[in-house]
Amino acid sequence: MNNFLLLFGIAFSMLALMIYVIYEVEKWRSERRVLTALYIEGMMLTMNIGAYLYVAYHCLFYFLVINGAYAFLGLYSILSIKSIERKRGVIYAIFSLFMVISEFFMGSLFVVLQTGKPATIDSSVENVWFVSVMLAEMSFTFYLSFRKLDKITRNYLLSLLLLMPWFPALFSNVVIPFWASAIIMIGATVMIYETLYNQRLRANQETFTTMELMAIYMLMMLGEFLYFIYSTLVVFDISMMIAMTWFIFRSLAGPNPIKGNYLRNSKLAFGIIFLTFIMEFFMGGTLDFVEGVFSPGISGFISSLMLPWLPLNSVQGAIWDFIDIVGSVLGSVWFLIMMGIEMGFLAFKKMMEMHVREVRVRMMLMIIAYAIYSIYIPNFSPISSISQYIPYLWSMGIGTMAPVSNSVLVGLIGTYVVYAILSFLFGSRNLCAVTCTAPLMYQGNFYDALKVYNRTSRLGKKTLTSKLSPWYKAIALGISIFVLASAIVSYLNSEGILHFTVYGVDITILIYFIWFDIMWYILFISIPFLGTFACVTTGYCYWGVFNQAVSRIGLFRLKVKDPQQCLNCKTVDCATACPVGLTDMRASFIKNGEFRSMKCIGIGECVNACPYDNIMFYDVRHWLKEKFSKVSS
Amino acid sequence: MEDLFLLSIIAGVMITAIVFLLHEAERVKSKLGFSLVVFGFVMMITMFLGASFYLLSPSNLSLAEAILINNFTMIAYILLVFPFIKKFKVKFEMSSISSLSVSLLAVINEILMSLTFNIDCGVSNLFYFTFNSGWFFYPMMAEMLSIYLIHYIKGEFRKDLFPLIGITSFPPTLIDNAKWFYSSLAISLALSGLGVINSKGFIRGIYVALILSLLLLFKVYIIYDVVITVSMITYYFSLLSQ
Repeated sequence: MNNFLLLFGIAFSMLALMIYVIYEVEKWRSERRVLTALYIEGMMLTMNIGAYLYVAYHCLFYFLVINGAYAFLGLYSILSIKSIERKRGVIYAIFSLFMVISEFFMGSLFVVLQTGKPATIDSSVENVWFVSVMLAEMSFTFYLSFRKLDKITRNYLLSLLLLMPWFPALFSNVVIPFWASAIIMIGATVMIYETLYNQRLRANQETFTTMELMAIYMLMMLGEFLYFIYSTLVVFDISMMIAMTWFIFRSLAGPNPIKGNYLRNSKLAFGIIFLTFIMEFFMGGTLDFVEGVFSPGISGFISSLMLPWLPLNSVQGAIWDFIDIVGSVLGSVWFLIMMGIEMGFLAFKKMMEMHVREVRVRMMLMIIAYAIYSIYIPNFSPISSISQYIPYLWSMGIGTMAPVSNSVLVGLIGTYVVYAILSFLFGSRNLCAVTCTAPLMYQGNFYDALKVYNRTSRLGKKTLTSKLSPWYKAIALGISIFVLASAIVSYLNSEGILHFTVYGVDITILIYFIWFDIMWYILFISIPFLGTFACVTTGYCYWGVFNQAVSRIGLFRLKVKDPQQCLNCKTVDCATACPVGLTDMRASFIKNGEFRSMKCIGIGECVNACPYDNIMFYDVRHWLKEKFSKVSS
Repeated sequence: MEDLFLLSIIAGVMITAIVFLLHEAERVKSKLGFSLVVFGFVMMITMFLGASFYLLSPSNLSLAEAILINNFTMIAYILLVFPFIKKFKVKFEMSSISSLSVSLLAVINEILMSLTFNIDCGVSNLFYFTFNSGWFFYPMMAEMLSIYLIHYIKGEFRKDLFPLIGITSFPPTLIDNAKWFYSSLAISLALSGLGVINSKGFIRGIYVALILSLLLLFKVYIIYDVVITVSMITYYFSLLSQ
């Protein structure tokens, strides 16, 4: 009890002094006051370091030298500084850094006072004293700066503040803090993307501040992920200290003065997407560990991977294992759930912007399909164990669930038949705009805004229009034949006629793994260089190509009520809105009164964008209506 | 360890009080205000005296004596000031004598605080440690530094007094450790040299005396103690009377 009161007294006095210096620096009433505050803060830092060294190692000499030297030299430094008015950023940075280092050594001191043993990075940070003092300081800084900060920076800082209390060592088990931080981070990511989307029409957005925050989130999640593999929170602790430094700095200095436009600068857009994606990768992996999908420890993790592990003594083995790790996380159920929540919310926001009922219904079906068809049925439903025998449940065609064999032929071929019928009747949108997981990710409001890169990026421009270029045909046909051949090999292999696997992995399973757990995500994060829906525009998706080919000969098309209206149209919003980049639809509307293309997957943005409500979907429903009306007349 | 922290907290409170009183001494505009500052210092002195009495031979009697000493100061102040309160409500300006008095009182406080804490720590050579322990030097350094910072914020920068803060940070007699002794001696000599260059008159004399006393530390420590105490009084006096 006495020990507790003692520690409380030290922590409280430190906090009180820190609050004073934060106040002085934030208010900036005079340069000398600020420098004095900085000096006092530095004194606390050296006192903590000295006290720690003294208590841990009984080294009075260093304690005295460190403190004495700082008292004099620190004072000499601030007396020598002439003006800091133009160096506010530097002062804020030093101040923030000093604060965190000071807190760190206070944590170290408390550990050694409590245990009598020297502290580690982990024990210095993962204790209630460090966390509570840190939270109090961050909250106070935020409170003081609140009025001078703009709404966006406030939201960014608040999201980070909410993430700070979840230090695993403060809880009886890691499930609560890891889940809490994941949920908060998902919410924060949605908020960040909403912010960027809402700012899209401005000359510049808070792109650099966003990337800073995203980098911190990424580090936090990396720390949590590594905890399960190496049983250490060091990286997580470092990320929390960086987060605190950034928080204090940005609270005082405001957002990054360097701005940029993510719709004009592809590198900026890529930076944001890439950082988010890496963060999501580690978050998905962490949640897989928390939920028991992956086993902890290095050997546990390796045993949880989808492909067999190869020795790392060759380049081939290293590449294989890298693909294995990346694909296993990206294809894991909790990664998909996390992405679904995040992207689903953004897609929902986009849906609310749509005024055409059919488009809204399609988007709602897309969100529901992600939850039920892609997540619930194959993973959690009572039929999950037998889903490979059921037609329609091979959600991405060959390779989705199992090698091709007699036992699954009904499920596999049945899936192709059902999808072919649906694509013939309603167009490939039954897959590419509803049941596939890709449209949910592409159709979030932020990502949808990036369709501008279909028109401006060097590679994206080459995929524009409905024309099937020779390279598109080569890719689509080549891959389709390759997959078909692989399916035959897989079948022969399962029948024992042929013995062909890749390191023990069935060829169709491997293709699915590489296509949809690796390549699809590469395409996704490459939006700034390829544009949106690159899965459609490049012809790489063999499952999509099959459905699009059926759709092309089927009943689905876009029709216009009055082609003359298109002739007089000045805006051509339909072509601008198309996320696939089918910019030639207007010419087809004028010439034929309709638009048919293998690449048209029925997203419906053109229908929604047309200012005259002139465009409409045409499918089996309209065809039947026409037939019945002819018969009745 | 807990005792050490408890004493540190008490020392911190006392330092804050002394800095407050020194700061107030510079700002007082009436005789009453100045008398309150003096009263504050005297109260602290009697408090330390009472505590020392008690700690030297803890008993109910010595405790009663300690309380009595404090009560006596309070009653004396009330009897001396309150009947003549109107006479104290007159304009006051710090003179050399009043500055010197306040400086002396502050240093006496320092010495007594060090004495009290050293009694509590149970040191053998009480006189030596009263002037050569951390309880003497560091509270003193903290007070000097605080006053210096207060003046710095106001825009005053006394270059000549600045090395004294460093000298009090590195007292060679602080611990019985050769590494510390020689390194702090070198630092103190260097700072004293800096002081000699940047000062003039009496203050320069103090720095010269410090150099000599530091060099004499190989033979005798008491001269150093005397000079450092005088330098403290000079420091406060210089700041208060400027």
